[in-house]
This record gives sequence, structure tokens and C-alpha cells, in this order.
Amino acid sequence: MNTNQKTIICFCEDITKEEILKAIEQGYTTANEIKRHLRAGMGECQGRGCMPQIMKLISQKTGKPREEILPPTDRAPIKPVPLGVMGKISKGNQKGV
Amino acid sequence: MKKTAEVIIIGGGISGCTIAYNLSKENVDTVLVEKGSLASGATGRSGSMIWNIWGTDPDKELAKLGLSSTRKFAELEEELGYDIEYTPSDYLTIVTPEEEEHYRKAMAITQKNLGLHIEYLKPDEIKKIAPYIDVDNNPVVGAYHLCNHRINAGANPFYTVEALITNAKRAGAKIYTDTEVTDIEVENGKIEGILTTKGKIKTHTVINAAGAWSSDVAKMAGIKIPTMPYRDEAFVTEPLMHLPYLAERGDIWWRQEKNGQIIAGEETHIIRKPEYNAAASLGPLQRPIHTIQQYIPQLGNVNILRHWGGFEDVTPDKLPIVGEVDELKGLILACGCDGFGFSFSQAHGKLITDLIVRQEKSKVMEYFNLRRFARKYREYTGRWYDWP
Repeated sequence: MNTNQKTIICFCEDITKEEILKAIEQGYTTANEIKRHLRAGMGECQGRGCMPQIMKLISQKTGKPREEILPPTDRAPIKPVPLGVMGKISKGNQKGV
Repeated sequence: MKKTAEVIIIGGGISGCTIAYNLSKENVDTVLVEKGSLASGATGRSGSMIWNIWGTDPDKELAKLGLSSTRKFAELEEELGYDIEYTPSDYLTIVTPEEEEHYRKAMAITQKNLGLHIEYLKPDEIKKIAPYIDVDNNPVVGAYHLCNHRINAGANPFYTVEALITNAKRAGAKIYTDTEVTDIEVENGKIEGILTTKGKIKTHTVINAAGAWSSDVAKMAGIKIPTMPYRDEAFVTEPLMHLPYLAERGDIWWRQEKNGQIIAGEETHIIRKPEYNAAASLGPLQRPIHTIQQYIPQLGNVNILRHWGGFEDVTPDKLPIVGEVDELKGLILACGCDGFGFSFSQAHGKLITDLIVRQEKSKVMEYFNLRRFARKYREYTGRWYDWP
């Protein structure tokens, strides 16, 4: 297996494993900081695919137990929602939302 | 941790980081203390717009400073040797019949004071340069078009802060993140040092660049300042093709990032109560969404990816507080920037550096000094603060 090939971790924003490891070395040691620094997990899927792997990499690199690495802040709407639809929700009854 | 420092900056947002960079460049022994990570407060949550600030002051001092700040931003990438995703963009300020008179006056004043060329476009001309703007079905009488290309822009707040801090560190500044200031030691009307969660640092000069938390920081030194945190919210869409012009309408702001995402929000803090709650809600998104859809109907099909809340640091007269505090030697304020902190940050950096390095007390500094509240707002009592 050729280990020199780039491993993409965040598919939406094209962030590689190497970039993430470098960021951790630079001192971005929380999932929130990696997200803000690299934009990993800020694309279409909102980190659904990459965040568990990023958190695992942080754990491996810093030696902290995996369960101590917190996920980044979740932002609504959890799945992409068209602007027009969002406008209709907030225009109507606001009690339920 | 360092034991002493010539200057300590509290707050690792865009203002604090710019000041740290400017001071360390002038060989001032600088320490920056931030309670979270860099740009974790208003900076990272902002629209990071670099635009001309109109300002509420009759003398247009704020607008002049803002203009110098936006021009500085245009040179920043080269100066710092860093890609901060600086994206200049052109704006059209769309005018409805009711606002015609108001805008004509405002634009004339701006043009006269700042020497900017502002073009007035008729609906047909808007259609020509931005065919996606729905002029026919909206009450549009025209639009103001700022022709100076380097006035309206945006940048990535995280990259900007990182670029500034990397350069500051290279020049010798020490940066402590995850370090909260717990107290400021004052003896005989003079600052002696700060206490943090990671130890004590001796200093005689503290710069309060804590943004929404600036009044809490000032309180540690026994000084009351009338700044209050107001929540604002924003959202971001999926990446789109580049739109050459974005329409500005009333108090809705929006800009397109370098990667094509549109980020938008509303300036609504006036109707809300001061609070430290950043939780996002659907309500504040209503008006920006409807305005965008009204003027560019096609955008109704574009997905919203995220929305979030952040804080603005607002003063009663909506002007920033810059400069020394009369009652306490050594406490310097660089806060109260309302919603234009990012645009204004380079002016902050220059003013504070001039004050510390060259003891320069310019007329502008006097204009934005804290003492204006003692005079003008003596009877002002906020929800949380009683001004003496």
C-alpha cells in the first residue's frame, strides 16, 4: 500500500489527514478549533462523516482518552434546508420551532 | 508563563490580535491573554465584513477612521505574508421610495467627508450590471454604487487572527489562550498586575480588548464602562457561483465568501435585551431570509447550512471607546465596537500603538474617550450598570 497518498478525511471541504495532524501539532487540539481553523466539518454534511475521525486523530496525537475529546458545537439546521423553506417556517407559527 | 510584561492585552479577538501585532512590531514587550481560543468570541462568529462604517456621530470621525482601517486591510495580506481570504466586493445599496430622501442626504454627507465617489444607478442600470436582482417586482427607485473597489470586502476571521498572531509571536509577543483573567491588581490608582487562572503577571499597562466582556474586565479594575453585550445572529448557505454585486437593503447585511458561501444576518440588537446567551433561534433569521428572497428570488432554493449567534459590544451612543481611562492610569480601552469591530480593528491597532509607543494623544482619541459618557450620559443608567 502506498502510504504517501493523501487521505481525505473531510470530504466536503477536501481536508486531508496530514493537514489535520499538522493543525494538532500547531496547537489546535479541540474539535472546535480544528473545525474553525481548517473548515473541516463545515461543509454540506456538517461534519457527520469526518468529525468522529478527527476526534480520534486528536486522541491519538495528544494521548488524551477518546471519551474526553468533545465534539464541536452542533449548529441548526442539522441538515441543509433551502432558504425559502426556512423563511416559511419562521414566517408562520413560531411556537413550535 | 511570563512573570512581567510591559503591556498586557485582554482578549484574543480581532482587536486584541491587531494591537498585539502592532505593538510587538514596535518592540513593545507584549502579552495577550484570552479565556477561550483565539477568535472564539464575536470575531469568529461575525460576518467579518470590511466595509465603510457610516457612524452616528455628526463629525464623521468614525467614518474617517473606518475608511483608514478598510484601506489598511487591503494591504494586510502582503504585510503579513498570509492568505486571509481577503475578498473585495462591490455593493449596491438598493433604495425604496420612502428612503430616497434619507439616502440622498446620507450619501452626500459621506461623499463630502470621505471623498468617495458614489454613483447613483437607475433601475435599468441595476438590471444591466446585476440581472439577478428583481427590480421589476420590488419598489426600487435606484441604487447607490460605491465605485471604489477596495472599500467593501470581507476576510476569513480565523485566518486573519492567525496571520496577525503568527507575526506577533515572531516579533516576540507571548500569547496565552485558555487563560482567564480573574482580577486586575490596582494600588494607589495604578495598575500593578493581573491575576489569571494560570498565574500572575506584573504590568503597569492593561489593554481591555475583551469585546462583549469588556465591562466585566473593566469592573475588575474598579472602572465602570457603559458597554453591553447584545446577541446577533447569522447564517451561511452552501457555496454558490460568484455574484458580482450583492444588494444591501436597510439593516440586512450579507456578503459572499471567497469559497462562494453567502453569509447573512440582521442588525437587530436595538430591540433585544443585553445578554450572554449565544443560542441561535429562528426568529432573527426571518427578515434577512425574506429580504434576500425578495430581491434575489432564485436564492430561495439555496440551502442554509448553519446558523449561529454571537455578541456585539454596544455603547449607548454606538461609537467605540478608545483610549486611556482618566481615573486609572494604565488602563486602556479598545472596545465598544458595536457591529463593526472587524472593519474597525486596524484603526484600533494604529490608535493604541500611537498612544503607547509615541504617547500620541490625537484629537480622534479624545473624541472616543470614555469621559464623553461622564459628560453626556451622566444620567444614563443601563440595565446592569449605574454610571456614577
